[in-house]
Amino acid sequence: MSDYLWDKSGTPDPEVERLETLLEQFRYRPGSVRGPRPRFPWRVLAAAAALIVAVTVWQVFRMRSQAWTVSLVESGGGARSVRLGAGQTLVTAMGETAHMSMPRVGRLDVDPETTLRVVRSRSNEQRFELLRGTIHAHIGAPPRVFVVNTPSATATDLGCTYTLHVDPSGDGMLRVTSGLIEFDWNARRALVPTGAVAMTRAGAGPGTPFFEDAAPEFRRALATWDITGDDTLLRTVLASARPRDAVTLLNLVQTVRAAERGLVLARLAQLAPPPAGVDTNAILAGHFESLQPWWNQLGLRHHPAVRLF
Amino acid sequence: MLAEEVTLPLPEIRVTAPQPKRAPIEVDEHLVTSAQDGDRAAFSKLYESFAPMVHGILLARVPRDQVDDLMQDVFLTAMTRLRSLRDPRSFGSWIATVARNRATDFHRAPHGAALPDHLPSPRPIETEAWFVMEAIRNLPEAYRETLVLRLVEGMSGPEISERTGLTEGSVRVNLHRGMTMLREALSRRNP
Repeated sequence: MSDYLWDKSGTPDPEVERLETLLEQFRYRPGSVRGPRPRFPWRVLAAAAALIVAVTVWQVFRMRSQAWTVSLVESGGGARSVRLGAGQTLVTAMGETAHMSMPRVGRLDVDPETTLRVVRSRSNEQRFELLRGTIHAHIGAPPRVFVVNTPSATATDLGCTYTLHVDPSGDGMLRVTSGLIEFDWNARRALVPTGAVAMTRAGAGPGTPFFEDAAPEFRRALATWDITGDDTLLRTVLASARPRDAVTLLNLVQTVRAAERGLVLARLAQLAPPPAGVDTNAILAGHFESLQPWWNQLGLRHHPAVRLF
Repeated sequence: MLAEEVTLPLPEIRVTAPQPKRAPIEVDEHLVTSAQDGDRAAFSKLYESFAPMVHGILLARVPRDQVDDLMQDVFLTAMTRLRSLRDPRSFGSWIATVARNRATDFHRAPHGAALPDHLPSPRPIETEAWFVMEAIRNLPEAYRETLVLRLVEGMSGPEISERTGLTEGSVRVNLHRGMTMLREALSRRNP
């Protein structure tokens, strides 16, 4: 055997050379065949792409399912349905109302001349902004899922039905029909139970909640104290309070100056004796979580499991 | 007396293109070990190094249009079963066996693909090339594989031995006998 056929050394065999040239077209060329390494990542990438598409579709579907269904009732009696999602704003005209709903969250009835924007619409957060007008909320979502921002306070649902109004100046009013609402603005916080009302003022935040059937002097003194903080008015409030007004005093404990906290607490204890477990010294020291058993004892139809503090 | 000038015939010198150096087997051992540990880059280098051999083994056994797909199958199989290889030095013979087995499986499986209605006319050089390839395919298995690796893939006898794990003696015999049989087959076509 020639050396050329064996190891390509020596004088080339013409016949072997011819065959080499002839058959070279069948030779493996790098890149002509996809190796397993690029092929395998393609499978992974394809799977990843499919996953991304699936997640995107799911997200789109989920976002769509998180859009509120709105039925607009025009002044002439005509009605039309639209869907309202995050970032969209509903504006009702004079004489026009809207009924919004979302499964597992609840229902909103929107009065005429109301501007309501959907800030976020997720399964764990339904956040609106009420710029003006009135909404009536009937919420079945878990506590702290449904939230409404207003120019002067934020209403966080703790499981209830309520009406929220904002006038063009930014002032507002919250009236709770059932359940409990957390109404806060900056460091000021009020808990508004069933049957109670809280006013809110632009630049000042929520006022102290009260029952509308309270004594007129109680209501007048409270409204003025919310603005001035006059301790004489505070004494009027405490003196004219009924046992039912203990709810107002439970809120006042948290908003009065520290020096007046003992005064309010003493009157509160007269109207609604503290249940076992309430640490009045802790409350005096500003640890308001100790008020939770007191709230629960008043039976304000909020779920005892809801953490108020 | 002047010596008679004698002109000695010079041997004919032909320059052939330099053959690409393939990685020495020591490097392959290290690559195999790394690839067994999950190093994809190492496996990629093994692929580059052994792809011509696998290509040749398949080309000697299956239709040309099936070679590329089957090559991928062979290396995918190798990648998934590489950990079962105990001796890294035998990677070449191991993957050669994987390739031969894959070719055997290919022939066992039913193939119902029909020929297209219109086949393009082959160029003359392809006609002869295809005839030679068919002649090689009709040789005994051991000869055709060695001849394809030598004549098509351009591997030398020592390289074939190194890559496939066959002894140099076996490769020499296969090349010699295979070439003799191929010449006979070609001479029958072009007497």
